[in-house]
Amino acid sequence: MKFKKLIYSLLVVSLGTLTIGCTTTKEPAKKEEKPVSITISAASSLKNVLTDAKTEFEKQNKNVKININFGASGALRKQIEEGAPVDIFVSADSSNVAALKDKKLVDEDSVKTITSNKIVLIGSKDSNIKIKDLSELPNLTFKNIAIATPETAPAGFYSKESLNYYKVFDKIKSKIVYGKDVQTALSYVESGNAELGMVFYSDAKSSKNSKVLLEVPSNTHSKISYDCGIISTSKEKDTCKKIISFFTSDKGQSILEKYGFSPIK
Amino acid sequence: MIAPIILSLKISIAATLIVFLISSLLIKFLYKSTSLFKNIVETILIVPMVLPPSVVGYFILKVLGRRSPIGKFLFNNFNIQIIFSTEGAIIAAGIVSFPLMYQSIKSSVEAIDISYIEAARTMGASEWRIFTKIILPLCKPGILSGLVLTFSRALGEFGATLMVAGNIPGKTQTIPVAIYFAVESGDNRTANFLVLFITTLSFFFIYILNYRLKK
Repeated sequence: MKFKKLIYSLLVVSLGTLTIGCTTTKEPAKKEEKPVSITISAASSLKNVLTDAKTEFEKQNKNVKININFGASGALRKQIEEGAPVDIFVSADSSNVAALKDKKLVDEDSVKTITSNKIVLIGSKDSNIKIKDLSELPNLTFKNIAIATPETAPAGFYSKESLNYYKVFDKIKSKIVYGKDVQTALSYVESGNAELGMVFYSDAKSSKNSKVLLEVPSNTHSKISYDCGIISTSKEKDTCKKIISFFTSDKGQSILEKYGFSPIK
Repeated sequence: MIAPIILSLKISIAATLIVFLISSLLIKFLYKSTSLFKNIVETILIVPMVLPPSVVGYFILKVLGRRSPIGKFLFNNFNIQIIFSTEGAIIAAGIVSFPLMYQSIKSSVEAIDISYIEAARTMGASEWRIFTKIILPLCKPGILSGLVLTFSRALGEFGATLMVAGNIPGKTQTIPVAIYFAVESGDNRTANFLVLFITTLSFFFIYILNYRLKK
């Protein structure tokens, strides 16, 4: 008896779905309702803000599901070069996007700058280190300073540029511990294992266990611009464009600003 | 490219020697014991072999980190910081490779026929003589394979080392860490060179272990 019941109910359910399937296909197709899944590869410094922006965007566009893969911009670029299935790439610099554009892996007309940032020197929250500019670094007593790996993470690249600008890089070289991305460098300082660190202002702002000791002048490193572009193999370019214009919209920019990013003018 | 090799060799040699000393002492003191205490100590020391290196790294960070009581004590009194130091890398490599040494020596000690020792004792041999003439020669294969295995494992240690010692070129950037960062940044030349080096060396060690030491 039980078995019969099961068969019946299965029949009813399958018939039901069949009819539902029929009616929806017969209705005038509403393109917007088609569920779309988008994968974004984004610089790890964007972790908090993009998670927030994603929720906001998904609220406005119920059919879109965004997955974000965070990492060091250079490492993400390599993944895309190796054929990772990504729709949008957001880098913490312009050169990684430009490199993909040159290889025709990113659509040329899709590249946009969405925001900017600042480099800051941070210490753990109870730090009593006082410093006026980076040239004083060799005279301070500390064991380690954490920066992101310059070859893969833009935050590290800018930090190294600034250290070189003040001609202190070689003097503190043996104290520099390289995190694989800027989040790692930040966590080294937050745990107290590195007394100092150089990260983006937005990272420092999101962190409760560290404090900004010094803002590094922007003329000591190359221009920080977060560029993004649509990967040429993406099948959902219209949605991608919508997401990017959301970033540059007033709403998107205000979210970025809330997290300590500098707006683009 | 040479710096990670020299550093790795230094760290592995130091870790191997320390692990050898600690294993030998522990085996000496725990040899006759059958207590629960011994079983627990042994299990704690062996378990890093099967734990993910990230878990081992996490424990070391929690125990020796600057915010931990031990870390604070060492820093405030001796200005010593274990995390992000060569010593940290030695500790990580030592903990992870310890079980290999311990097991190798222990199984060879346990295989010794106790009647040899008793016979020597009845014939009036001193304990030192028994140790150097009977125990040590019989344990030699176990000790040698323990040394080789521990050294190879320490040389290859990556996860816990990266978490504990970080990536400081010339100070904590061992061969595996250097390979990881070279691959991440697309530096294939460095990666290829180091990969070739460590693969050749490991091949050589395992070959020696299997076809020379065990004869």
